[in-house]
Amino acid sequence: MKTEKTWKLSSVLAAMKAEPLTNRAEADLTGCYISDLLSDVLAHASHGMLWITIQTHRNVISCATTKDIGAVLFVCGRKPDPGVVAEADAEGIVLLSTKLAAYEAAGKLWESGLR
Amino acid sequence: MFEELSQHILDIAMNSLSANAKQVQISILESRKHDWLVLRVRDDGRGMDAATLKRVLTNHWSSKPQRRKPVGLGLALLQQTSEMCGGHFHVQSAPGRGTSVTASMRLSHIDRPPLGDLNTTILALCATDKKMDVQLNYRSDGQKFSFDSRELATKG
Repeated sequence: MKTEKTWKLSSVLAAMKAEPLTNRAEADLTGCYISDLLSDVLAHASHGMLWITIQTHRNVISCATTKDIGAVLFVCGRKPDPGVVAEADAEGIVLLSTKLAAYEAAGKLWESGLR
Repeated sequence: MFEELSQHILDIAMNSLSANAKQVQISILESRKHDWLVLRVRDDGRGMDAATLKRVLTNHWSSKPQRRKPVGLGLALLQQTSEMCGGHFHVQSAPGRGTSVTASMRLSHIDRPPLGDLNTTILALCATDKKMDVQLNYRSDGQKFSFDSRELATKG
């Protein structure tokens, strides 16, 4: 059986200067995908990935649920409305926010060994 | 959110196909003068009751039974695109009375996706194995274009 390499979200949170928005703040990450176009995420992201985006629309939750995304990181200090966070809590999706821009956050992740 | 509006149109019109529509009418109004782009996709399919309509628009595909089945995804995405680009989004539907989806956006909005490859969208809709007539009406400030798959069939 093929075992997949995963990283604990908690081990990279500090590097990304990310704060959890949801009750759940732990996930097994399989990789990372960066995109702000939801159809692109539907086409190219895969399960367990950390998804980095500036989009905070509620469609992000639906998209993350459909693709079994590990966690969503909103960059540039963006945070979704409380209703969107509640929806993520109900779906068991982890949401995070950081003041870093996508490029910096991804760089920190890479440095932390998520590659 | 798709990269091109023609992909949104294809997505919405595929819903018409799933709803067993015999006819789908696509209209596009593009006015520089008034700074609006208005899309409308209207079909004579089975339509939706109020509860279904509410679900696809407010709770859409994250509800458990539909999980991983992107039902109604297209509507939610088009609504997002439309509202992001300073426009309005409206769906009118009733069981047995078809569905009409209207999405407007500011033509000049910087995030407005381009219309894209409309030819391929229309061709794809005409080439499905189900029998659905496809009509397109395009209008801009000075131009008009229309297409009707029924005319094509009689010339065939």
